[in-house]
Amino acid sequence: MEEFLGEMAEILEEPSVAVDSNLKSFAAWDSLTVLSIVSLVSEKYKKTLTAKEINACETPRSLFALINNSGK
Amino acid sequence: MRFEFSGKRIAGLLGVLPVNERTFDQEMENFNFEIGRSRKLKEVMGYDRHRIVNGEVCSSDLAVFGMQHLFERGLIRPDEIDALILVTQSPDYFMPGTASVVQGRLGLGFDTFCLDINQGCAGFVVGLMQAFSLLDQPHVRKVVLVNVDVLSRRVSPRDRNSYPLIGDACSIAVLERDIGGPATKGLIMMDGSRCDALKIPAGGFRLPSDTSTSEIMEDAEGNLRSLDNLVMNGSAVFNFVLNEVPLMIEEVLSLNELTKVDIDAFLFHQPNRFMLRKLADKLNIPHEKMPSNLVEKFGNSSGATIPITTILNLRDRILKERLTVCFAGFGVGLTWGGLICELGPLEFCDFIDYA
Repeated sequence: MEEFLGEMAEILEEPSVAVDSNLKSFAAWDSLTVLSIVSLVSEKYKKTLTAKEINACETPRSLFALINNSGK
Repeated sequence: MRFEFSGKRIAGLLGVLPVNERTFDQEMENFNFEIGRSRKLKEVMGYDRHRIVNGEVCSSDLAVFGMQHLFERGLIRPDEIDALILVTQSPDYFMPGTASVVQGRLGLGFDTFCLDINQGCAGFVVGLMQAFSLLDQPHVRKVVLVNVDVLSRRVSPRDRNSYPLIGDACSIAVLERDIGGPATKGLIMMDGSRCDALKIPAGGFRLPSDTSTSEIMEDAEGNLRSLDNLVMNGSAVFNFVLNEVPLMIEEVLSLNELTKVDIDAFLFHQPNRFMLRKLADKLNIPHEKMPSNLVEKFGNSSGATIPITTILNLRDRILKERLTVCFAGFGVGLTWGGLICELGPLEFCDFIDYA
């Protein structure tokens, strides 16, 4: 989880990101960020997430749970 | 579908690019996004400049201009052309086909077989397969394969998702027999169940264009476009490419009994630099073997990207020597396909500008 928060901070261009912060509140939250998450998840976690699934997540916590529960 | 040919070759390649160049920086203010985020997009995707037609230029205009250039320089004679295959998603008309329009404008003989193929990003691979099939006919001498699109005319200038990457272009490949030449083996895959990922929703018979389809609407991300415009589900296309293309390439390599080190260049369709680098990394192909610089220089011109990337990056080499290359296209359909062939020495390999 710590590692994932670090990866999210890098994508969101923030010094750090808290586990329950609101993803949509970040200035950098846009389609490019979502694509960067799709790419990270595909490369590192070997899972396929859609933009819709990612956009439905409120926080890094729920996003991380989605990645771990995704069967794809 | 697997395919296999022997004794055919690409004799020459020509790229036709509209002279009108636009830069991402000029267009950034049209987008409904904060400038800093657009700059970030530019850096990540490798956007810089693109060539787009000025005004109502049609696919046949670019194709006729390119063919006339070849005739004038004696690079091909009209009477040698037994078939003209034109691959486009932006035809002049619903009917007749654009290949027929081009044949008529060039005054090619009545014995020229003309065929339109509705394909985009994989259209060079699909077109090559069709052209090589025609060359199996004993009386067919030369086949001209034209990949042309002017899709910028159907992309909303306020759609940051698609407009920065779109490019208009035409490529012309002259294909002929090469008796005793090496075999070419490849693969074409299709999945129409995902056909919504890249689409122009209105303008066909399913949803004819009218005043409501031209109404500009804002999507969830802030892009502005109408149903008459091209729409791309970027992340779905990204997942499609990263999941399907590496498997297809591995299979094409094994069909040809070759490994990655045997391939001199991987000449792939050019969606954007980001996706190509991810693809190269997933396939363990060094970046220098897989050019990804077309979008930043000219834009993504759909089926013309593979020949134009080839001319841009390998021109001097393939005029002199023979390389083993892997072509691959992927996109609208969805369609993905690849083949390995020997390329060069070519008789011609150039760009011209369409003013």
